[in-house]
Amino acid sequence: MISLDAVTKQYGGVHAVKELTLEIPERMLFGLIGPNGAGKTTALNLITGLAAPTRGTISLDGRRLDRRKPYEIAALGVARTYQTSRLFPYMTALENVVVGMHVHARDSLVGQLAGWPPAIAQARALRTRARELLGELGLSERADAVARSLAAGEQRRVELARAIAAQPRVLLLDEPAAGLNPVETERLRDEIVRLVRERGIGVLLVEHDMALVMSACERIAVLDFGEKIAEGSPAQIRNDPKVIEAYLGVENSA
Amino acid sequence: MHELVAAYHAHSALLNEIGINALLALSVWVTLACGQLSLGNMGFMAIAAYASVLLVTRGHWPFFGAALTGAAMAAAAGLLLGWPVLRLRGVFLAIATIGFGEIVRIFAINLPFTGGAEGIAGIPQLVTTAIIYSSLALIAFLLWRLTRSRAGRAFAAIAQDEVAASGLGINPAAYKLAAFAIGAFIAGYAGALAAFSSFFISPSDYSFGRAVDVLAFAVAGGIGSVAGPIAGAALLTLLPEWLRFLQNYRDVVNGAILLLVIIFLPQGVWSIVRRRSAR
Amino acid sequence: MLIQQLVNGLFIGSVYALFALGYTLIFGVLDILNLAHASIFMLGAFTALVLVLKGVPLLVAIAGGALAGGLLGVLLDRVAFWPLRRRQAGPLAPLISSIAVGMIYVGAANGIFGPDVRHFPFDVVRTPTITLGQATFTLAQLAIFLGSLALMVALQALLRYTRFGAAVRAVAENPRAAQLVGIDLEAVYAQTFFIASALGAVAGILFALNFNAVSSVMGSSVELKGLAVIILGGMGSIPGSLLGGLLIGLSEDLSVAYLSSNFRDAIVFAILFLVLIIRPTGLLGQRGFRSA
Repeated sequence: MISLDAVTKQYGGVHAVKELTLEIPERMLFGLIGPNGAGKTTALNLITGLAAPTRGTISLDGRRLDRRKPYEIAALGVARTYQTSRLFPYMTALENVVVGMHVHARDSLVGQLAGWPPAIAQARALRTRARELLGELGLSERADAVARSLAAGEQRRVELARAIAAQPRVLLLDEPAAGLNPVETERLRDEIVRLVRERGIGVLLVEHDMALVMSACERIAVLDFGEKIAEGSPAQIRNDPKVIEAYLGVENSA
Repeated sequence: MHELVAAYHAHSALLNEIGINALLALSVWVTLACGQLSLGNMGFMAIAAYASVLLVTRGHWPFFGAALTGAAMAAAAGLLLGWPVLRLRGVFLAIATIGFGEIVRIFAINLPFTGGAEGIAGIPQLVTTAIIYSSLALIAFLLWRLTRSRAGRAFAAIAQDEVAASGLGINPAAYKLAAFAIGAFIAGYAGALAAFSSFFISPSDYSFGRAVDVLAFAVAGGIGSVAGPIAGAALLTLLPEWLRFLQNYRDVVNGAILLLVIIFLPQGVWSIVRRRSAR
Repeated sequence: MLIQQLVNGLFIGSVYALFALGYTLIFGVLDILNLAHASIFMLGAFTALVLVLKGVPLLVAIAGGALAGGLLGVLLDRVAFWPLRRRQAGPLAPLISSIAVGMIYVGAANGIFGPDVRHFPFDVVRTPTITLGQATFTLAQLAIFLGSLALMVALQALLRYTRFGAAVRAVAENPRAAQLVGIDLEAVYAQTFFIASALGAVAGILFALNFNAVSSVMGSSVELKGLAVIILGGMGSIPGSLLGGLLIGLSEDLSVAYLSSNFRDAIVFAILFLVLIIRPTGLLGQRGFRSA
């Protein structure tokens, strides 16, 4: 579904991502791991159009994504979350999720201005759906809380709900487990797995937490210094000498 | 009897001024609601005021036709201005719009058909208090509906986090431009109302100082809702009248009150009313 | 004729540059557009005028005006910006609070001095005329030009070579990091406001001496030009302010000479507009004094 073909991103003389080729098939939970500064977030920014590749192409079902604006890419069905929460801070959790439905919302301005009943009904339907979605993520009680007053774990789940609300074909999650305790992480994993199974969304999971990725993902790619050093099933990755070296090298020095 | 008539006229002039200032405050508020600070609304106001006055006095157009045409011209100017400047952020956008406002004013002084620095006198009084307030009510209502719509949510999203907004399929440039054009239209319409409720217009009516006042109306009133800018315009238009007895020192108290509002009422004066009614 | 216009442009441009430095310094350090700056420009001129009328020598009066301006700047920071900093208000609130303090300062001048235009005594501003080639100017004008330049060089040196300058640059770069290495943020802010406002006040005094006119509204004739100067030169850049000020001064005088005086200010704003669109960082912007 999403393909990166020999994508390179250079900042000055530094290769943030180098000759990266990835194929993320439909309905798959795909893990992207690597030590700090390996270029994982850069890869997400390239896919979502926040950064333009220096070389190489990115496409979704054969349609080129590179050189498109972020909002166009989002409208094609790519949603994401961010490493540090980017909820709209002064909106409630519910309003955040409703904004997530922007691409599919049909409560047009003209309809609203004229008080046209279908437009108003549609606005109400959006709110109902948003409330349901928050309920599914265990946030019913927090739906009307202002986003910036939410706890970090809650913010992450609202952000997830907002991304799901966009009905994406592929969802990019940037370290969703960072800062979560083991119980919350467990729960997050179940939610992500369910997303793929029940909604048929493809997920690209960028994570630091090896245990989470190993237990959740069907396929994993490993980045180090911007380059892909391995790709395969969790079992293959676990036993890959290059991966062990990259990780042990970092963790020993850390 | 004459005194009564004079008093009525004095009051209705003040009432008209409040209504027009409220519309101007709303015109700034629309762009603020989309996260953009525009201080060029006096330019839009001037464009529509001169255009509508010329259309009525020379072209013999009916008032509303002229006012709406003037406002549409202002909106078109807003689109033309917005196209290049909306890439700019924060203070830089504000400064670019200040530049635009000043350029319009200087042209108003120097063009052959605008009456120069003296402006145009003898404008027929076609605008009544009722027209001003029904216009205000209609525009405020439409803006309130706007905040409830898909576009309104997009405005708020862009204002709060443009990157996250575009990651959800919202096209920031398009919405910003729309907000700019709507603001320009409202400012322009207010300009036409103002022109036809006073006897004359001149370039000094559209100064940078006035743009700053209008921004103060919106922010002091509170930009969280449509009611805020209206409340702010009413308060800050009445205040100098109440403080007339201070004569030359008037602006000291005026400024002090504005300062107190900004520092102690972060959500604007309207938030007091809201809190009261929420109890 | 051309040379005379160039000389006039340089004189007034140097005053614009000095005034605009205050905007640039405060924007660079605090990311705030300080719209009360023009009112301090005006109050500096009034302070100097009052001192001169009391019989104080001009140079001392200028120093007095600078001191008053600096203190008014510190006061401005305390009442308008400090409370907002504490609650981490958005960028809009400081803009409005600076407007409010500007209103208070202008209102105070109106109340104390009235709305009329005041003048320095004639013997204070009358100085010998110098003719150099085709250009004629007064000694006072030359002193204004050289004085402005000297102050700008001094400021640049202050920022580049002193401990204080290093602290200012660190805060401009990253306030949190600066605090971590032990820099007292509030002290840096207060000193920045003092210096920026003192320079603004001196600019006001020089401007008033150049035209021999002091009034409560004199700030409005420079506040927008000051913005044009920093945009043209590059926000946050001291050499940029100088270059911008001189260019704006020159373009004004040249457009009066060769186009029409009516459109003089339109040229200034057209330049501002074009620079913003074509090169928003200004001629010397981007790095600015953060790397001075």
